[in-house]
Amino acid sequence: MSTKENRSIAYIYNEMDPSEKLEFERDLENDNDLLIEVESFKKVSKNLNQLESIDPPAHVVDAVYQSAKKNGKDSVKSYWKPVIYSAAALFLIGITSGIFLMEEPQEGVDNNREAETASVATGGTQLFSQPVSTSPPAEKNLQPWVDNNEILYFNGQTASENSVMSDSIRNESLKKLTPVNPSGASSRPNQLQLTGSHN
Amino acid sequence: MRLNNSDHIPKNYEQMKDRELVHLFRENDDQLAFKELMNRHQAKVYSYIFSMIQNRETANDIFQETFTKVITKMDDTYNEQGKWIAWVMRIAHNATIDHIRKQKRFVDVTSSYDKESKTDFYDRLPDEDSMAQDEKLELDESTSSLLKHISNLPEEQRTVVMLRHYYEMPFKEIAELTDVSINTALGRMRYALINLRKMFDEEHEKESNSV
Repeated sequence: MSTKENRSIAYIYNEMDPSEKLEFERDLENDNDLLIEVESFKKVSKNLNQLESIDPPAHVVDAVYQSAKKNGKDSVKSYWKPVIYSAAALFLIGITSGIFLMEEPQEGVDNNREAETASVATGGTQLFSQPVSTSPPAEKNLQPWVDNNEILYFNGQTASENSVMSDSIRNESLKKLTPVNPSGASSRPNQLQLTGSHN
Repeated sequence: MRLNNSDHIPKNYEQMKDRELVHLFRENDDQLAFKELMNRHQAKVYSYIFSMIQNRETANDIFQETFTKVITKMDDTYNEQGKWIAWVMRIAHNATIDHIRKQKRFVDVTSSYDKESKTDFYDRLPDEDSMAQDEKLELDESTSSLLKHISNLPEEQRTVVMLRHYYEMPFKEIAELTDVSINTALGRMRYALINLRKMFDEEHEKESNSV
């Protein structure tokens, strides 16, 4: 535990293992210098043992007691703090969810207006329509086109009353499509999705 | 030494262990349990602070600060598995060392130590409070003389001496408290005893010469 030069201290303050102590006492018998050092340390340590404890002044101790009492009262008050905070938190959550629930149906309507989707099962080609615009509809400006990946797009806008016309355009376009896998031997389900919307 | 107000403390409290008293104070806000704890340890804690600071008023402040922290932080930071007094002493030690370091920021006390007169900066200050302090603080001659010698030790050595002699703290605990190894703590004690031996010898020489 202790290095060689600190052994005297560990010895006089009785902080040696029994085996260390035996070994040190053996060394003491053979080493006069070590014996002198230990004796002088013992003498100084004995002097230090004369140190008397000093009491704190009564007013300081009283101040500490008052502080302990005050803290005790405060801690009783603080017992209710978590309950109050929890109630406040629940109240806030209630109000927030109430507002959210009141606003949600309107948002749902908006969402429905913004994106209507439809799907058509065909042979392995996907059809998408452009995002809906809120601008006034044109009479006949719905143009189908196919990109390099053989995805059919409908470019343009049509009024909701022209839906019959846009359906006929869409059907004509679909007729022109040729299936990618005519044998239908693909392991994947042959499905073509058409996403679009009409005003 | 127990204060007069300990008379109100029931006998069975005196037989309780620190841990039990701490538990009563924490759980039931038992003020008598806290008083009993104070009665047991206040003198040693105060002695340690005073011996390190050597100023009555500052020692009072640090003592009060220590126990205010003890009261307010007991619920949060004290683990009942550990020794309560070791925890208190750590707070007292940290508060004392903080104060000493703050002082050192303004004045390098060690460099102002005069070997011939064996006085440092504080000894040479025209201390108006010292007379008043001496009047209030009635220490016996040997304690007063010893404290004067101890105050001339470097801070690290003084800490080990006071924790060991006032508190009979094992070197392992001193090492933990001061964040050093046991060997360093033992080494500091060794140098402290060597320095004190020199001081005692010189004092003895002076006395014999004057006679």
